Amino acid sequence: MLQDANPGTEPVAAQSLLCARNLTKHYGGVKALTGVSLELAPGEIHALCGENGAGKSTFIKILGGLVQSDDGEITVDGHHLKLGNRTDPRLISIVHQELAIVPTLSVLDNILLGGADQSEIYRRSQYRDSVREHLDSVGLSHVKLDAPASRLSLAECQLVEIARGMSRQAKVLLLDEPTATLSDAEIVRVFDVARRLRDQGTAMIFVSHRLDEVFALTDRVTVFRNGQHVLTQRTSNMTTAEVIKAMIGRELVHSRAKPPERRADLAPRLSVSNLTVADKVEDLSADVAAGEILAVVGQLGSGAEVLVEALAGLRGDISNSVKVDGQAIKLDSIRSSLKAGIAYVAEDRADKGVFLDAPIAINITASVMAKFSKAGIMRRAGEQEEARRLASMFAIDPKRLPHEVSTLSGGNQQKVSLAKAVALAPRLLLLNEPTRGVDIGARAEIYSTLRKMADDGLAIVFYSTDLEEILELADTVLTVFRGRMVRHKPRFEIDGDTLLHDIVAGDSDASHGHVSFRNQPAQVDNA
Amino acid sequence: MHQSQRLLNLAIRIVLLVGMPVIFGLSVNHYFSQANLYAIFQAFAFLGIIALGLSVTMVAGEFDLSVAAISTVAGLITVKFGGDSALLGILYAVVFGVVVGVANAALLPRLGVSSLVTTVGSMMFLTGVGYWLAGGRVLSYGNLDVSDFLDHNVAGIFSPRSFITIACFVVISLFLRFTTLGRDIYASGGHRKAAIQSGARVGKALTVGFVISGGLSALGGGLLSLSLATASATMGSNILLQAASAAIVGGIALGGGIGSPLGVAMGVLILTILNNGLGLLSATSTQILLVNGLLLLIVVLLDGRLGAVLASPLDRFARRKASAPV
Amino acid sequence: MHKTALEPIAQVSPTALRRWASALFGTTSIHAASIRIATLVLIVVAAAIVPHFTEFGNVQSLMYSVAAVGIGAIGMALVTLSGNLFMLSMGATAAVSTVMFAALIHLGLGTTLLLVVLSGLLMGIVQGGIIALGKANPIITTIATSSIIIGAGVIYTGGLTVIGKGDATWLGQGKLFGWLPTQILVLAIFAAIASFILQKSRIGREIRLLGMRAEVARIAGLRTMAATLVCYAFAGAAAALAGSLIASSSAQGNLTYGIDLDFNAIAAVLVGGISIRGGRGHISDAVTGAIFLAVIGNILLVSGVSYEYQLVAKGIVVLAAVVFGALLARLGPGRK
Repeated sequence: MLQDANPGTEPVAAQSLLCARNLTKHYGGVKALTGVSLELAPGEIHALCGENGAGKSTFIKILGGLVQSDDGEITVDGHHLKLGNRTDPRLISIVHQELAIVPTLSVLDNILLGGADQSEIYRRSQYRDSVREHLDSVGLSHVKLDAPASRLSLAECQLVEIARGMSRQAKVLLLDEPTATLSDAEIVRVFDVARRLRDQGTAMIFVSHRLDEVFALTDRVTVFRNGQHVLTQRTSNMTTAEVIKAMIGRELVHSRAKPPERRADLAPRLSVSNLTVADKVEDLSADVAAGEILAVVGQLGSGAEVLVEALAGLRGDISNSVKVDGQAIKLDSIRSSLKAGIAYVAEDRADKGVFLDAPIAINITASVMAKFSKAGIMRRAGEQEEARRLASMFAIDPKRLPHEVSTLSGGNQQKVSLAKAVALAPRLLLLNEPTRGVDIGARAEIYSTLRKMADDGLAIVFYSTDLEEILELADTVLTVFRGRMVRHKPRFEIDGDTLLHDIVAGDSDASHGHVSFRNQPAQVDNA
Repeated sequence: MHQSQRLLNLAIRIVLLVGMPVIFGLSVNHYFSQANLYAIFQAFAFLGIIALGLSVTMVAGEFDLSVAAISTVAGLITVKFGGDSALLGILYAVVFGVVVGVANAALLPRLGVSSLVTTVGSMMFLTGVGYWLAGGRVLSYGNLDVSDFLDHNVAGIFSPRSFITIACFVVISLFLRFTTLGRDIYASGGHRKAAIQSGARVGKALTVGFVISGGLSALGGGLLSLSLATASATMGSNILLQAASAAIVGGIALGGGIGSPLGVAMGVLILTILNNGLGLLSATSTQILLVNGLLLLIVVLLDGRLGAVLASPLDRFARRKASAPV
Repeated sequence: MHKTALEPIAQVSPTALRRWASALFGTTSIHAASIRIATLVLIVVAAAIVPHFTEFGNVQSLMYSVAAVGIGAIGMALVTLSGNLFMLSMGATAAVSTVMFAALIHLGLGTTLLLVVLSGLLMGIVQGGIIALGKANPIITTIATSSIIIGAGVIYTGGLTVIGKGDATWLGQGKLFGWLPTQILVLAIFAAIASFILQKSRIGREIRLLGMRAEVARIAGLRTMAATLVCYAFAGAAAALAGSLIASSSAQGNLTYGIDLDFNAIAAVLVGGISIRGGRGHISDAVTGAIFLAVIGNILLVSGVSYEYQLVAKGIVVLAAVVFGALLARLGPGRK
């Protein structure tokens, strides 16, 4: 019966646990979702893929009852859901992409927050045992129930959220980019939990940008594009290229540029000696040449991200010797970093990268207003020209310059964030997760622009937890473990497995954690 | 270090609670007399109940600027309509306070307006209502027996009014700690977005928070008017300042999600002891006002610094402090 | 260029609507445009229906009631635009300024104005400094400083009225062309200065961007500290100027004069459509809000409605404006 609704769908054999039919959401003229259907069998792990704006988030929110569908129906375990009402968490529970953890509450309270079946009188003692069990099963046996959630690391918070999903004993669990903030080793743990839940009969929807994870974990994959259903197939019947093609509607060809030649005669663009940041980074030294793209990698807590933030002047607790083009600089504030020709692009564009409510042009020139102001008054003409120049550098439609950044997709917003930093004509560009939450097409454009700027002499240092991105973009890779540098090598000398090993074990003697989810170090179709 | 900051706060409070009476006791005759301690607890009776209500909205991540206006109008209502039965007057007043609370909360989650804005609006509106009810006069309440009853000496230093306030503290404390709504109130203040996404009943929690605030403020204002046997449109104009100070001194973070009624009680005591002591040292009401203003300023600065240390939840996650490097 | 999925076509309409509103009304917000229309309609209807509304004396009275509040609203607007919500010490500053004005008027009107406004500016900078450097909550801080300022005022005046020994009639009763109060001229000039700073200057843009997203502003290297100081300095100066206007009508100062400036300025800002979130809105919105509320107050006054009812009415109007503004925000591209 469902086959007709969605061409390109492999039929579900067993009695379906979740049946969502013809879900639609139009916001005025914006068609977020049109006539989308999906079925889940019990114990099925189902991937949901699509570019940003394809409708995945809307779909998830409709299933959770956070958004009301204009049409269609949803049935879970025989229960017909009332659209627009908060879905009973025992039927569908969501593990959100942005963590729904309240830092001032205890871990126990966080897990019980929003649960059904709780009487008004709140006796915590009756829940302690079962919550403890769930925490243990996600690998958090070292975390105390009454500890304030503020003490947890980001990864631990994500795992607590998953534990919450488990404790709800939901029939269907929706995981929205659950691994986006996790390091690769923690992802292995999450996969174990997912498989255990599957064995218990829970059905899961796994929304992800990361195709290698999709292929490692899921039974079937559904692709959305432009708010519409494109295909649903057994994961084993698909290749990465086919999924990508379904997501963006065309073939994608990665081109790898040659790494730049090093100039031995010039002082390195960036020279770091014995950099120490409180108890996060210890005694780190490295050089970056002009035109070089360096990836700083490490697990969360390793200090890798802190290194990049420190270079941006965001950390006060730093003692260092840092030179840019041979000149020593102070890194105690954002202002001093900017003055030294260092530009920084933060990892969370909505919160830190762009002014969503301001026009794109204003955003782009925000850091360089001094250049266009005379006696404190802004000179519009020169400013507009500069904004146009930078916009075209990043393939942003110049006609959209007066529009607010919020009208753009995630990928284009990130481009604005980048353009803003590049406007400073920096000598060194620092990026923190340069393409998080950015769709494949925009990602490629950003990489190519970064490459071009590096070819023109810009030095780039970026922090990323996306192994593919590191392998794609970097000339050199610096691996950090427990605050110390463990490896600093040209990219072509490293493969994915080695990189992962460095991140997990830190030194060659430690036992190599078996990484089962990677089929091959690099995707064949990326070459 | 979040924990250590809270402990430091607590230590400071205890030092003040013990230290101030000692200092005042040495500087003033008869400081520890029954009469004076009674006076302190009488002040506690009114300030405490207002601060308690305000603090519940603060814990929920909001701020009820209209508490003073609610108590003023409640006092007028009690005196004006409680002619035959004081109990009825109080009842009308509390119902009024609850209704205002519901109205204050109604605009919040649905329309995404900050309570600082809505309560400014209701504060203005209620001030006008107060002037209208008072009709430009000071209203007086005929039944002085009620006034005597409310303020008569119990166990030397208390009175029925201060007992009522203490009882409110106990009830609210139990409510916040041992009900799911209480937990949801803390969640709404700790991280509003997370609370909504996780399915906590934020709307209901906020409504209950403002209802408590409105109801308690009204109760306090009504009881005060009965006790003074008068009501006017300008009573209790400084109470907002003092209630905010008491709450923040008592450990309620302006950002929300942190604090407890016990802490607020300590904060209220600190403030009443301070003002009482200053008065005994012949400070004028203006000087006391100045001191209160300065105290609030200091306390807000400390909260701001604390806030910078604790940082917003999003900031903290972005900094990704690991509990242990893996 | 890659055309990313879902660049919503419908985004064009609200933007086009805003452009249209901007061209027509000098503002990009639907709320603000509505208030402009509403004000015009209100005036026209009142002129037609309400007796005595168009009488010379009443029009004069209306203009005088707009002037001080309008100036206060402009100052408040800058604070709101910077993301610091409200400054609750403007009333205290204005009240103390009336006293200062009366006490100094013997030095001549020009000198007195300069000194009083300067002191308001300084008071504003101090508060801005506490808020910016101390990272203190802006509303509670100004509640605290408000009582400190009033306390200082009471110590000076002992609660009595200060009677000025000088001539302030140019400001207090002066009229240009026989009908335009000089106070309106002062309002217009002040609004023009504020608007220029906000729209054309670098620090003005920094104030706006700070209000939109403080963290982005910080990371982008904007002068956030300076921006905060500037808007509070301006607001302090505005309150002092408003107080001067009030005191000039009788050359007397008293701590009850102008004490309600907070309420009135906030009401004007909210009604005028300046967003509470910060970053969005224009100076002219605040002035329009002040005019709208003044017209309502005047209509009630001229119809014999007592002061108490007027307060209630104003409160209702403010709440209605807040609800209206919030509903509009929800109906727009719901990204907030």
